[in-house]
Amino acid sequence: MDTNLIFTLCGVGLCGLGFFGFIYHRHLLRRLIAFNLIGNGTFLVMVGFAQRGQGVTDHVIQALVLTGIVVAVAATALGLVLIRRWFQLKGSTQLPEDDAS
Amino acid sequence: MNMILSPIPWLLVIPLAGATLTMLLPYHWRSAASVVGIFTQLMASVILWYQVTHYGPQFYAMADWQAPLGISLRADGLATLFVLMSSLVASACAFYAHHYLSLHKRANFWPLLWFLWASLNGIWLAADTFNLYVGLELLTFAAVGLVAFASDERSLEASIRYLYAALLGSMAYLLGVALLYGAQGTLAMDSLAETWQWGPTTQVAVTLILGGLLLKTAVFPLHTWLPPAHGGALTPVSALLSALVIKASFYILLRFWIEFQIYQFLPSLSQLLGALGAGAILWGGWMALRQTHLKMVVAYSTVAQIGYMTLMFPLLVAENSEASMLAYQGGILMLLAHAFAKAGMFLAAGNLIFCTGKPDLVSLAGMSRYRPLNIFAFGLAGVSLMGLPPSGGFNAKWMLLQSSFMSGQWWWIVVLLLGSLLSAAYIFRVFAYTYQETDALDTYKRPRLSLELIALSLSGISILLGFASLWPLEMISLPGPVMEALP
Amino acid sequence: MNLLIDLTLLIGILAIAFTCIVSRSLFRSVVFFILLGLMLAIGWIRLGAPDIALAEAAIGAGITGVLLLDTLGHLKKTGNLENDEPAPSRKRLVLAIVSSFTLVGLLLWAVFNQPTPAINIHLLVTEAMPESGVSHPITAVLLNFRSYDTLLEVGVLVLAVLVGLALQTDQQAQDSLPGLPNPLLHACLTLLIPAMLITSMYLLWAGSDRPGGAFQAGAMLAAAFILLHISGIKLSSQVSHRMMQAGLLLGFGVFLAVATSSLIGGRPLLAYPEGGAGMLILLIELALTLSIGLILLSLFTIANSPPHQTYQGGDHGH
Repeated sequence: MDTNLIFTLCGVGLCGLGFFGFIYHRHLLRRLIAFNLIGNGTFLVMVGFAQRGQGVTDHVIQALVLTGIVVAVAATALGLVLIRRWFQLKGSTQLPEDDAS
Repeated sequence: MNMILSPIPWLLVIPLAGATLTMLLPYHWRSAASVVGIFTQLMASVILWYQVTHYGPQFYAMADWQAPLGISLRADGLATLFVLMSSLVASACAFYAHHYLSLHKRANFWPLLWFLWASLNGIWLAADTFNLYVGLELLTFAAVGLVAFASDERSLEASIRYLYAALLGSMAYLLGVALLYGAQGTLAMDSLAETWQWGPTTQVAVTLILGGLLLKTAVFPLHTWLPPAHGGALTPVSALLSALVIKASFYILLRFWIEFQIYQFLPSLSQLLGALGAGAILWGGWMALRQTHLKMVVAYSTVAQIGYMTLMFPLLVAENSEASMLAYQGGILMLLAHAFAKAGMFLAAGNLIFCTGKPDLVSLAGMSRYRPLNIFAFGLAGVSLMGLPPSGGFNAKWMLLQSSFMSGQWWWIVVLLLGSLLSAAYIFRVFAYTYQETDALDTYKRPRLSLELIALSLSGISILLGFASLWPLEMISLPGPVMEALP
Repeated sequence: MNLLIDLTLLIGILAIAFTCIVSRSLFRSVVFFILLGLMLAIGWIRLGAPDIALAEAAIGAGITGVLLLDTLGHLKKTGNLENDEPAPSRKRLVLAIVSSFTLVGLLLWAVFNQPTPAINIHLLVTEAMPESGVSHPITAVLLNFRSYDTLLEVGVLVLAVLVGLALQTDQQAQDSLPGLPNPLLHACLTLLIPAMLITSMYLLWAGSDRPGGAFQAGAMLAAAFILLHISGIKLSSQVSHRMMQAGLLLGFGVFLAVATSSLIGGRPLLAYPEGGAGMLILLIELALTLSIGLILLSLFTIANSPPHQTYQGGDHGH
């Protein structure tokens, strides 16, 4: 077992946990945290899996992950802005349950 | 060709510069700057169309680094048609918004629109899987911002739902791209197609990408975020979202499906897509019939129309090249006709709601007498959506019917016919409300003529497409990566 | 030995992530999320990616963590935190378990059947490095080979701030964090802030030949700004709205201007002139660092600064 494989598996685990949280929870903040876990898992898979295939340090995929991290923080911030507005308007931390639509 | 003369970079630079400038300029200058930008955008799109039809597909190496190290852009017939489509629809919506929104709202609308436009052009021209991810995120943020822009409770809820669905969708897409990169070592679509090797890794990657893009396109049953977002946004925004934004993820899916020949190697997945499309047509049509708010009817109609476009996937069959070609052309024509018809219909619906001041169907009473021009615009769009002749929608449905017939998949014919009946039902239901008589006419507001004319011209184009179908069809059949990969 | 470290990290990260997801207390979830970011940073070093480790620690754990904590504080103040959340339904639990196991199963199947990649981009990178104008490959990829992605990515950041500003309304409740008038804190800040600024500049400078670069430097700058903001020194009240807005857009504007200038020189978009790549990359990075610092600060302040101090609608009244 090499480092790349171990961290790829770690990424897979994070994706699974995050995906679980994203579906299971209704609290908007918890779902946003879960989304970030999926993101972190994806980044680990990106680098670990690519480097496992290439057999060397892959700078291209590392640069892409840097881009991904910045996009993820922007997404989180945007989500938080919307969530806070929602708290202010409705005083609720979750969306109303979907009706049959 | 001389690099400076290529319109490809300008299609990206103008909207990005437009976004920057409209954020910095004082409020009353923003519209003027945007008008200049819109005209240069239209001009650049037409120049691109000229170059592609005369000199064939155009390739552009960003920063002078060739793919797979750098990022390439490419404009084949399909991409060029989409650039033209988005330029026309976005310009119409922009002019509508200019007259429709207050100065304060408008000032914030412009930079969002420019970012949206930049991301759309970026996606149409992209030839790199990771670049598509960044483009999708830019598109999502702009679209979510535009939905939340109405700043009431309903639109806020819709924008949160939309953001969460879209973020999950892009993450699934990115995970798929990561697997593809690990398996092939490249992100560029052309080199991916060259070195494509089927195996568990690519299959899982395709599944993830498919799932993410279906969620972003709002294909049944992943559509629940769409009706509140499209129905609850401000009118010009609804038009942009339904006509253009959902097409972006659909377009990426289509490119993947054809260029990597997924239709050939995973035909069962194509059938699954067809089944989802059928579900969308029936469920979307049925729900549209049950809505009480005008814009929700139009929004559910989008859900159903996405279904028609999805029907092209099972009809792309490797064994029957004629049927595949008809399906490809019919599907794209359907998408094009829907873009214009739906934009026209949303704008016409917005005008009607502006008149009565109420969003529900019951308040439409008397409208066909009071605003005949606007009802006419709504009706023309309806003709194309129902698929009555002569219209782009009719030709598209006809081609899809022929294709199902040729490839022996008669069950899609049943779906197509049932769907047409449903769309006729929900559109005539709206009409029935407008023909009711009322004595409240004198309390109605009068929308500007320009607003009605913009709606009418968009709906008119969807009808004209019925007469001029050959022109877009020839364009998407120009040689290029998609045509090479079709059977 | 290395294997042991890796396995410990694997178990630690997954355990922390699990706690983060299932913890009943939201506060604990956030804390564990930040902890996870720090563990991941170590993991990134093990993967030979010190650049990502820096970014993960500064942005992933740092900025995201502060944003989450701040929202949590806001929730607490408005009494929304201690609300007894109804436990999600059983149907949801089953759905979540089934879908996440399906995902993990698919991913494992994909990972263990990895084919040998046909293309080795790293060879192309090595070959093209001498022409890139910098000697650190990641900076070369971000700001030369794939600079188009980076341009759009900065666009995404600007867009996030733009949406936040457009959403701000005058009815926004006054819920800003009160300044902390603590002399000890201020004494610490006088030491800490210059150190942070120097670190930020070092990260920026290092980016040309070592791990570092505009994003990490910008995050460090943002951290300094946010620290000042929390301690009561509000940047947005020190400078005019216009200045702030110009600062936010500076990086994107400079990047776009450099990109377009190459068109006028007859080169493709974003292509640097012969021999000028190094200088131009440094110029872009300098502008980006400042803007990213301000953007991340704005993302933090947008939701919690009182309306009269925000720069939304700044030119409306004049």
